[in-house]
Amino acid sequence: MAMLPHDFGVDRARVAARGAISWFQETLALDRGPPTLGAALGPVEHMLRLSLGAILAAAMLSAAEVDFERLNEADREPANWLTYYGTYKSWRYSPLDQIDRSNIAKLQPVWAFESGVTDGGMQSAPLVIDGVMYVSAAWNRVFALDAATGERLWSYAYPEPETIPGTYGTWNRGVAVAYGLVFMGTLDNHVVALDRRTGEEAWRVEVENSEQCGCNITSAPLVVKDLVITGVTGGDSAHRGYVNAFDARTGRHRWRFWAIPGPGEPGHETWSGESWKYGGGSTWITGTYDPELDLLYWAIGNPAADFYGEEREGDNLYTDSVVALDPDTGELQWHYQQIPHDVWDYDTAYEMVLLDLDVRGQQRRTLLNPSKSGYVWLLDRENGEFLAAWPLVESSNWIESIGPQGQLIGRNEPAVGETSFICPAIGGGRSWNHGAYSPDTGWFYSTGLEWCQNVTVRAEEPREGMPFFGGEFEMAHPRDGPARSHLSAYDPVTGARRWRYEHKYPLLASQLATAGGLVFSGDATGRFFALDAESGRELWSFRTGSGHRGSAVTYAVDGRQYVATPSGWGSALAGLTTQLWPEAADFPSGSSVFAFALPEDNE
Amino acid sequence: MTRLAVYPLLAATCLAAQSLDLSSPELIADGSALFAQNCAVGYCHGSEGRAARGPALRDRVWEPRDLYRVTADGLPGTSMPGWKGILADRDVWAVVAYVLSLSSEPPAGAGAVIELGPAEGRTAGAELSAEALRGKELFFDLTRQRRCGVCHRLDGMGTAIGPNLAVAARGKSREDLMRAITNPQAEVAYGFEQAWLELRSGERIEGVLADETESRVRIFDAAAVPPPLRTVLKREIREQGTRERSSMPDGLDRTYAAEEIELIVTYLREMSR
Repeated sequence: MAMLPHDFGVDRARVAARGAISWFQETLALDRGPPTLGAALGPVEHMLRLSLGAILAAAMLSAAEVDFERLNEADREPANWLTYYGTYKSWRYSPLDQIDRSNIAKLQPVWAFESGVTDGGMQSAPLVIDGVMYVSAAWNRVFALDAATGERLWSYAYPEPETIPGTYGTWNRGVAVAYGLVFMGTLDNHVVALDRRTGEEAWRVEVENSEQCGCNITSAPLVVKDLVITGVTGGDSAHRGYVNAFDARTGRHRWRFWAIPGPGEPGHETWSGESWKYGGGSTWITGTYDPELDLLYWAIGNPAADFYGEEREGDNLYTDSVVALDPDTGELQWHYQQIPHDVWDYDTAYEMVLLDLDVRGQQRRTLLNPSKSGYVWLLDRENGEFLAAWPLVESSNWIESIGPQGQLIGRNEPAVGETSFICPAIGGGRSWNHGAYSPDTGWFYSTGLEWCQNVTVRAEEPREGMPFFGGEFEMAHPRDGPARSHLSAYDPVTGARRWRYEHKYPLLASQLATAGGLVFSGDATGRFFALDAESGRELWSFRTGSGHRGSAVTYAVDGRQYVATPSGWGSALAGLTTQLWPEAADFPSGSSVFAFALPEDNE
Repeated sequence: MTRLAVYPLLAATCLAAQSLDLSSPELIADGSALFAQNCAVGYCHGSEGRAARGPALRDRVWEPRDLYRVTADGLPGTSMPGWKGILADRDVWAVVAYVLSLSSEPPAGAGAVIELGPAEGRTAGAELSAEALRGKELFFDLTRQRRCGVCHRLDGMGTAIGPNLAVAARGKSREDLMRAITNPQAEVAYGFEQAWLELRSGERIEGVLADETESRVRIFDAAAVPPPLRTVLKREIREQGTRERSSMPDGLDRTYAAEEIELIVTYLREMSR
């Protein structure tokens, strides 16, 4: 049920006015047939050279409802940020170039929006569609904002559940928009759909009772065809993970992919005894889709218990794996397991970046997937073949290396009943926040976290829906110096590092790359900054008042390019940082969005 | 799982008032193990209360009953859950005793007399027979996507979309209940006649009416499991009504074997006593 803001009347009038404009635009678009802007303008490379004005004019003509065709061709309308990762390719890259290296010094804030919900911080990636920003905050608040002014058009508050699975927090990482609806997963494991013009609820469905499963949804849903597809948390609980697809218009369940195969299914034999029932395998970060191959990709989390593996002997499929599914049925097409029988809590669950690359002289359709283990895997996305793996961090002792066929060499498993020094720490050699790929440089930009932990492993029996870690940990500094982090540019095939930007605190925000030759990100102290994509030199920064834990985006309205960043410290890792940096206990939480643009007289 | 070292916990079966000494080394040791498994874990309070997402709990000063209240009831509006009903009351006190032991000023003078409440852990299972307990497991078995608990709340678990079966099963024979599960159309629970909406778009939605205001109707759409709760604006509705039919899905005898349905019936009968 939508909670009405105090100034509902004003909002309502605005929505009505917007509705009229949208209706006009839709009518216009209908007269012109479906939005075939991209087809008319030709290949993307050509598109990049077009003036912003032409792009915008074309985008206005295409301001029909977001449908599968628009999602498929999201890279043809750079004025918008249509999906969680920007496009299905998951590059977090924009061809917008009004803001560039030469003028970034003039970048200034143009509006700020405060959600008012600081518990859990602001971890979202805003979407921007035809001048309207849709952004979620913790506790399943959703806001529609005028993307040029920050003015609120409507807001939605999901009813506060009586109990929530405390392990997985109250934050939310984003929404999806299509077919006139805004989709969001909830902290009590529902999916809700809202009317994108009014914020009124259209449907809601309970995926699985969260009190019983101890799981919920914090990541953004993914829309593919007529389906809204969601993952689930629960990998550190006695729970069996899954991916679910619902009919986007009605909320009717279409299919479920179990991340752990049940009795009689291939892969079930990789779990001893009854361990499959509570083996984790969460799906807590948004997957992606390849329209040409018609494959849905999802990256699966760690097995449970996280550190204690003796009661789940075997490889534990499909934990720590990338799976490719038939998007219509959820049937498995192929899988690649990075870490058989994980005992370190090193989820594969991060983003999958779709890149067509020359790999040792052969053109391959690849999928690049950074993992919590601090390694990046490169797979052939047609069949899951291993192509390469390379490290993001130096503080790594869980294995010695990864062999040419992807085999883990020199596994350093923490012993049961003892305390072991393991790197990287549970927070990962990288956190879930996403890297970016720029086709201009051909480099992948990602953070790396140099930190370790003393992990004490203990035998533990599963209790359904309850925490199931099989141990506990204390954060520790690496042997070679204080814990720290960096943001670096890498060759996506070899992992060769092109530059490195060092930081004292863990960098826990996503990267955004633009055709202006820039890489944006933010830090724990509240600085939002821009680096030169070619040199890594810092060119600009602005203090937003609270640390960065979300995903910045860029878009354009009426010919003006904006960069918008969530700001709001507060998350699982933000809390853990206090064990290594006591002063971080004083880093304030927050929950806002800041938008930046060049001064208007610049144009 | 038999070779697991079982923690010294969840043993509180004694319901009589009992005095607990909050500085007792045994109680603190139990609390330490419970804290490690439930509170320190992952991302919450950190190992030995060193802080993670939740606040640091060590080196602080506490009033024991405040600490108990927050541990037992949780902090509404935050991520802190209430542990009452999950942990036995004695175990909640053991956690309190452990956190007090980490305090910069541990309580002086021991032996606070604590009257233990009757609250038991989730796994306690009340007075159900072994068959009924097995039936309960099946009722809420998460490995089955179509299971009773998707639409029925019972025993503090599941989701209340369909009728409360502890009430609906009252006075019913074993055969009645078997039939109600395998042939849901045989008898429709009072107040759960199927609602239907005929939309102007041509779509028809059938299911359980949730609520209605002047401008809209909310209905659990029985066309899918789990049933989505759909909001329909009244201006989109051409016609609406109810009919003498159950929204309970057919084919549960494909989800559960006959002997499993027997066990579920045993559970329902014991719950409705």
